[in-house]
Amino acid sequence: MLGSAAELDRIVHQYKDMVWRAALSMVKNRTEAEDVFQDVFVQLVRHIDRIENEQHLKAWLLKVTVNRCRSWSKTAWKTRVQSYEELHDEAGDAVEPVTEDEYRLADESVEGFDPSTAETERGEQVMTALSGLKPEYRIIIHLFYYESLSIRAISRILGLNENAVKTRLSRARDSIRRSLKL
Amino acid sequence: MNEQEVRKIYKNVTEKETPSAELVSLTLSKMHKELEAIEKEKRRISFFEKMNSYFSRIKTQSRWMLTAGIACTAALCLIVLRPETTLRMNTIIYQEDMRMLNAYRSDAAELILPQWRDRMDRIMQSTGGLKRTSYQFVDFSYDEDAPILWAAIAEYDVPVKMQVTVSNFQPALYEVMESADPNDIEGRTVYLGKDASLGDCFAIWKENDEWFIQVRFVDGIDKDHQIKKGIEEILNLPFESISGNEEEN
Repeated sequence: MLGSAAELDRIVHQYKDMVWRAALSMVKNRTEAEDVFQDVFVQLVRHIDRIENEQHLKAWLLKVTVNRCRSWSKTAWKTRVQSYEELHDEAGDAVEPVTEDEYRLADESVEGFDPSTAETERGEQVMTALSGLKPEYRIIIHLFYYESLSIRAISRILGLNENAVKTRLSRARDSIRRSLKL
Repeated sequence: MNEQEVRKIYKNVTEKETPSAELVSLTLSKMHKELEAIEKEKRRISFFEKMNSYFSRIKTQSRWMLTAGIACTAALCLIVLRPETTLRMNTIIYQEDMRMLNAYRSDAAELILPQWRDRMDRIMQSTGGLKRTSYQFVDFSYDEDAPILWAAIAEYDVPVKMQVTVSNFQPALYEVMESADPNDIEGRTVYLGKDASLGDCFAIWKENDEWFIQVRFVDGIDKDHQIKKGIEEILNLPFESISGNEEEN
């Protein structure tokens, strides 16, 4: 039943937002997110026989999305062309464009979270603070706060132990607090 | 702004992020193609599995078929080659016969048929060239005793009737005359020897002052002509004239 075309359509329509948002939280670029999005669902067709139930399906989709984003970040192109945020992240600097090119890159890097869609100025601040986090931290924030998953569920999806998840979540919170000066 | 507010803001902003309809449509299209390819592959694998299973069954069955085939072929070979086999066996038996005949001539004949042997020797000496020629001509090596017998008959100059019968192979039979007197053979069937390869036995007897020779041939061996011709030459008589009973048999 899960392998039928109609069932696949249902799954896509039901989980498309979840996959899309998770991908955006990690890659921060619509084009990359689109590739990940397509990859995840095509992979689903190949592995649909292994899906046991709806809960398993959701976890599987999130896990594959995370893995695809990680794989993408390891590609040759990505390793050569680092984003502005990543450069500053590695140096531990604040996110602040200094040149026109860097500014363009920075603007592109937050494309997934279009500041123009933020309701308020505070919304822009929040998204800017989040975009300054490492992808591994952003996905934890996303899964914990948006998908409302437990630490245990997140640890399974990310392939980390629970303590590591807790540590990263704590660091991510601290970083956001610092950025927002809470 | 506290943590709850941050969480709420993040949720609100993220909620507005959705994949474009074009992306979803493109993804679905790719998925359907992938699904089609997978199903095609499954069908192909299924086909090969079926074929594999079929050939497996055939392989098992073919063992039986092969066994049955070999058995049939062997049976057919036996049927086809049987005459040859029989001939070969007959030849072996014939060789054995010849050894016994030789023994008969050299030993038994000394004891049992001294008079006959003397007569035969004498006749053979006088007409030996002719007999030997006939011998060679008709390849009478298989019934070496027959010319001797016929020569003896010729010596007596008695009318001879030849009875030729054709019969299947019978066990070798060697009955040597118990009496050394050729006159005692009157009215009796006397077995002088047997050639398993051609005839069962040669018999000679006398009825109403007529001598009869019986030659029985193994069925299916086409040497009748040679034998007839040999008899004609040996006895110097047309075969027909001495084979009055042939048609009856």
